[in-house]
Parts: sequence; structure tokens; C-alpha cells
Amino acid sequence: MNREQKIAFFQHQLQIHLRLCFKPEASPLWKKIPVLYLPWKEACLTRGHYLVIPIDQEAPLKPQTPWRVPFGDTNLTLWNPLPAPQGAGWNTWPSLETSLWYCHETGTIIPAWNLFSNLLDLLTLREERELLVRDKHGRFPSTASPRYRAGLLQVPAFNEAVAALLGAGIGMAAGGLPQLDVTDWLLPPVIALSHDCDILLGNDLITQLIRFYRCWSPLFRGKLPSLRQLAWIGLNSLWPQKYYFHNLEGMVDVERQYGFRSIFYLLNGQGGRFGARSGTEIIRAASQIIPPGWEVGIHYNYDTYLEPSRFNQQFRDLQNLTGQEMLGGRSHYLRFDPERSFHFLASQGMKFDESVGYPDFSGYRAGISGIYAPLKSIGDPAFLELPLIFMDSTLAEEEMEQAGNAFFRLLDHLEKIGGVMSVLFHPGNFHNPEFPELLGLYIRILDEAYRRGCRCFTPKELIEFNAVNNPEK
Amino acid sequence: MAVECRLLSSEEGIQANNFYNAFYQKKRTLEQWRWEFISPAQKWGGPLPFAAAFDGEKLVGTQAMIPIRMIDQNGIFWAAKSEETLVDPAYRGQNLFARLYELLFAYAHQKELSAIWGFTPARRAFEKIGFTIPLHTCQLFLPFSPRYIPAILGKSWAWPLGLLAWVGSRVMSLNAMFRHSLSHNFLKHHEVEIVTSPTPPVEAGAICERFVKNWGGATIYRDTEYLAWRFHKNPYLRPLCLVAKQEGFINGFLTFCLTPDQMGYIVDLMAAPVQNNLPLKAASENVRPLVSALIKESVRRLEAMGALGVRIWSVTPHPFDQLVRRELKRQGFFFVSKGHDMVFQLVPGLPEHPGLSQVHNWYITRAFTEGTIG
Repeated sequence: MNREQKIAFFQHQLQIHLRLCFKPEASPLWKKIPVLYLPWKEACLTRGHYLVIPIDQEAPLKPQTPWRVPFGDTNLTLWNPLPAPQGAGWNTWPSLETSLWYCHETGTIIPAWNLFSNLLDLLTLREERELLVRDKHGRFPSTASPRYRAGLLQVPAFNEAVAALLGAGIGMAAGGLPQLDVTDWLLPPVIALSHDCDILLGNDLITQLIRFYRCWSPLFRGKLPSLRQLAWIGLNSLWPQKYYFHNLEGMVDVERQYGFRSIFYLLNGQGGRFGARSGTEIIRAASQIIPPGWEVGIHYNYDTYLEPSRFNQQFRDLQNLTGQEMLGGRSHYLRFDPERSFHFLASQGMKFDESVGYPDFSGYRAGISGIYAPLKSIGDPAFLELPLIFMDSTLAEEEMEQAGNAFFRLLDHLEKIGGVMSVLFHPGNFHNPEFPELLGLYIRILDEAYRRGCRCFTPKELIEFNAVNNPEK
Repeated sequence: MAVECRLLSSEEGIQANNFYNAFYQKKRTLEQWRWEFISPAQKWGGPLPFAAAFDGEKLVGTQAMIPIRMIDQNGIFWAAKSEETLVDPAYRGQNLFARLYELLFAYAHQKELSAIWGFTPARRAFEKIGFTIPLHTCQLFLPFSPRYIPAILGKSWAWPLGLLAWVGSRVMSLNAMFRHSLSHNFLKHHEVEIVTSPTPPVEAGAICERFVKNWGGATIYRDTEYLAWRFHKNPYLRPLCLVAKQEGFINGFLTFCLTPDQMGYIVDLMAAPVQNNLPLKAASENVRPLVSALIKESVRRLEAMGALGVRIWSVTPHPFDQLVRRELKRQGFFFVSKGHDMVFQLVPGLPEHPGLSQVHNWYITRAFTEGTIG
């Protein structure tokens, strides 16, 4: 991307986010704010009522000197500070220790951190483009991210920056200093619920063999065998749909009683250890019990990763099986290539993807809690990415005693800065005594979201929202 | 300084809600407070039926009521549910509760709310100001999993007792599963279609009218407006509504929900086929397939939602309540007498409704609760 493309890319994402997460008056207000995107030297020489965003300062890959700034009832976490501009008349706001803005007495405002490069790097997944660490599935692990080591993976940097920018705009419009609270301008957070239907029958050979292994493997560590596994083998041999396919209806009902809806990403195609284990007939049955208002999408099979012909085959087969158009999807095992996957998916006709998430950590892989248009710079603003934030098993692993605490904590933060939470629950993890740590977790999450007045959008609604609210219109 | 008692306005909800949250260590939102106390009294405007005691600026006691329409064989009338009984412990013994209720009785008289009823552990306080205790709530329970024990009884059980309860509940669960499966045969012979209704059924009011004509007694008048407020706009959670259709006609409905502690509740159940004025026995036979099918489907759905068990109220000897109780037992539910006292008082000086004072002949479901768990 050249400089102009970068600026256009950034402005586009900012506008989408403003329209989705803030009250309708926020976007027009922002349009009235004189924002300049300038090289650092010119930014420092600017005078008058301008909000100047420096665009030429490269950000180091490893976050430098993170610090926190009080903002409303929460804190913003910033890193990669910009030096204070030289010359008379510059002040640090709100304080030297908690710098958010450099404000000139003539009214010029410059961010105190490398806002532009930080956000661009995050949205374009620079970490994983430059660091070549991958796990056995070809995925970038959360632990390889420099932000993980700095404890910054749960910072929605983009959302925080937009809240800070809007606060500055509100302050400027009122002829004063940047505001440090935007709660009056916020809409409630959005939750986007999805279900990867990896396994819909609990009796396939691989699942049963895995249980058999889990049963006896404690012996290798000098422990007693886990005989409960034999019970699950027996139960699903007799009733294959129990706690898997049967859970689809239960999930819909739980969502319905909170007024929420979701999308079911269906997995078909090649079977095997990492493939579609439950066959295709159950997919047809699943699509028939998913009621109107709920959506189905494609769970890209393991072997379709960057393979056009296989992807296309799965895509067509699934459309034939369900009789529905597939607009959105997520990659099985979250296989995702930061350089090629967006282009690949868009070229296959996808309009919406939720693959950019960590399989082993609840956090913001792209630094954003919300939708963005990753292909805007190549002229495709319609393709949307909604990075995955929470996955059932990860939530449980992170906080065994109180699974879900991370969700409540991050939702708490988003209530004060705005955002969209993407939450993934597998049918086999929704209500299954085989995984006791997850029992009741989904309803607790939905209950809390409902109590806080969260809005709920499905992928189709987000696509429509983007089409109607396209900043280029 | 003397404590002043007065009715609150809509704008004073924050203070009342904060008082409640601080006392009970709860997180009730202002939206939930508004739904409970403003919406039902909105049509009258003016001060709310929400009495509060102030020591200077400090709120030290509350007593409220929720106006609700009821119906008996003579028609529809207004009554009210007692709610939000709370007096700061430092101010107890100062007759504040009685003073708060004086305001509410005056309000009830003015708006022609014929009676006040409620469910409370504070039996003595209510008796002192003239309420009677006509009933004690009971329930039926169907366990799915032994994990219901901590959900119902708390986690502090000593392990031997817990083990005993676990074994007992396991036996009961198996019995329940067996009996529940038997009801399938009965339903095969009756063509009842059960459908999830995304909106309150428009037939609800007519079903309610037929219900009291068929079965007598009094109950809440559940028309579309009531169901929309009580269930579909409930800010705690929105119970799901099943409707029972026979030959294309909606003849009954049931609402159910799952709470975050994974307990399933059948909140409300009402059925009245189109045929009127049948003798009681014929009416029972007529309505049983509807009741059976509604219960069966709700139980199936709650199990799929992850319920540890299903609870439903059974409170009075009302013939429909008894019919439901029998059907529940057939489907494996067992009776638990654990519950609260019901308090009741007619509002003096208002015309009496024949079905009203016979509280034992009311048809009472969880719809009579304040709606925090559906």
C-alpha cells in the first residue's frame, strides 16, 4: 500500500467502526473535524484547530514502553510513544505520566503514541507476516506474538484509538481539550455468535479412538485410567446425536430466550482426523432444523486451505446440501495465511470471514474487536473480516475456576469504548457432560450480554450494515 | 428527623434501585426496574404504586405493587402484586411497613385494584397489617442430572449427604425418564401440533376467557398485551412460548425458560379448547392431550438447552391445576412442598369479585411471580 492507500484504508475502517459502535451523530461529527494525515515533521509544525495524525513513523514490531491512560471508567493501553513535539506552546494531555495527546495552544492535537502505524500493522497482521513461527497446522500461535509477551493481546487497540479520536473530535467541536470519555456517544456492544459444527455425531471412529486413548493415557503418567471415557464411548455408540446434533436446537432456544441469533458454520467434505467426521447427511438434517433468522455458513475444511478446487467443491456441495447461499465462513482449525487468505476467500465468493482468531488464547489477533474491510486497499470494501475473540474451549482452559471471566472483563471494557465481540461455541461443547468445565458457560455469557443490553448481529446483518453504511457512498 | 413516606415518581427509580441493589447485593439494572414498576402502571400516569420512606434525603424503606389484570367468570378486573418489601434494619420497629402500605391501599382504592397478593417470607409483617395467608406455594420437579442438587440446595452440603442425594436423584432421574417416555404413547392418539411462537399468540385473551368459563376460579388475564410485557419484553430473560394447535386452532400455550444456573422452569401453562360449557370430566379429557403435549415438548426442549431439571409451580386445588399436576406426575415429575407463603388482602371499599376472594380456587402459575427468572 502506498501512503494514500494507507490513509484511505485507515479512514475506511474508522468510518465503519464509528457507524457500527457509536450513535448516529458520531459519524457526522467526525466528518466535520479537520483531520490531517501528515509526516511527523509537518505535523509538529502545524498550527490551528487541526487533529494531526503522523503517518511516517515506523513502529517497531515489539511494543515499546506500554502505558495506560484513564478514559471514562476504563483505561486505554497505548504503546510505541511518539516524542513530544519540539517548540513552544505544546502540552501533554491529560498529564505527562498518562499522555494521550500533545496539544498545542493554537488548538493543534497530535496523538502521543504511534496511532497510525500501530493500527495499520495490526489490521494487516504484520506480526505474523514478518515472524514465521507456525504450529503443526501452519497457524501463527498467540505465544509468538510480541504483544503476548508484553501482555497486550487483550487490548483492542483499534477500538481504543477510535474512542480516543472521537473524544478528541468532541472536545475540538466544543472548542476545548480532547474529552476523555465517550460513553454518551456509544451504542451498547455487539455480540456476534457463531457455532463451528465440526462434530455433529459423537460416534465416529476417530472421536471414539480419542476417547479410548484418553481413557488409558493416564496410566503412562502413573495415574488411574479415566474410565468415564468409556461411558461416553458407550453413550454415543447408542445415541450418536446425544450432546452433539441434539444441542443445535438447544443452542437456538437459549439464544432465542435472550433475543439473540447466530450462525452455524457447517463442515462437509473430506473426512479424517482433521476433516469432516460426521458425514454429509447430518449436514442436511442440521440445515433443516436451524430456524429462519438463524444462518448457516461454511466451515472451510482442513484440506481446502488455499486450495481453490477443493474449496470450490466443498462450497458447491454445501450449497447443494443446504439449499442456502453461503456468504460467511470460518476456517476449520483456524488455518489462516496473513498474506494470502483474505484474497483467496474473496476470490472464492466469500463476503465474510471469522478466521482471524487464536486457537489458544482469547484476545485481539488483529487488534480490533469489530468488523473491518481487509481488502479495501485493492478495491474490495465489501469483503469483511470479524476477528474471532472467544472460543469455548479456550475460555475454559484460561480460567478453569471461573470460565468466562475473560469474557466479562473484556465486555466490561468494550462497554466504555465500543466494539463487536465474536464468540464461538461448538455444539459438542454447549451442553455435554464429557466437558464439565463448559457446562452452563454459554448461557452465563448470553445472560450477561443481555443484562448489559448488548446488540446482536449475524454475519448477513453485518454485510448488509456495511453495504448500507459504506463510507464510500 | 421524622421519616416521610410518599409515592415515588418514575424519575426516582435510580434511588430505589440502588437501595435494593445495595441491600441484596444484586445488579438489577434501571431498565429492569422500569420494566417491573413503570410499565404496568403507565396507563394511569402520575406517581407510581411504589411507596418509599425517606429519612431526610436517605431512602430507608420501600414497598411497591404491580397492577395486573385478572379474570373470573364475571369478567376482567384489576388487582395488584405486592413487591419490593424492604425496610432498612436500622428503621425496623417504627411502623414504616404499615405506613407504606397505607399509601398503596389508597392508590389501589383510587385505581380500583380489587385485591393485593404476593409471595413472601415476611409472613408476620403482612399479617400485622391485615393480610391473610391463604396458601403456600409448592412445586413439581423433574431432574435430568444430579448436578441439580447444588443448584437447588447450595454448595455447602457435606459430602455423605451429597452422595446420598446423588444416588437418590439418579434413581429419580431414571424413573422420570421412563415415565416421561410412556407419555409418548398417549399422545400418538391425539393430533396436537406444538409450535414455537415468536410473538405472543393473539388468541391468548380468548383462551383465557374460555379457561375461566370452563374451569371457574380466577387467574391473571393473559392477553397479548400482558404476554408481550411479561414475557416477550422481559429484560431478565424472555421465556419461550409454545402454542398447541388442534385442527389449525390455537387452544393452549406454555412458556418456559432456562435460567443461568441451568434450572429449567415451566413458567405458565394455559389450555382451553374451543368447546365451551363441558362437564368437568369431559373438559378434562378434552384438554389433557393439549397439556400433555405442551409439557412433553417443553421438557424435551429444556433438556436440549442443558437444564439440570425442570420446576413448575402447583399451588391450589383449582381443577385445572390438579389436572396439570396429574399430568406432570405421569411424565415423571415429583412433588416438592418447598415454597413461600402467599399473602392476600381485598382492598376495602371496592366491589367484590366472586372469584377473587376464593384464593384456593385461583389458577396460579409462575406468571404470578415478578418475572426475574422468566
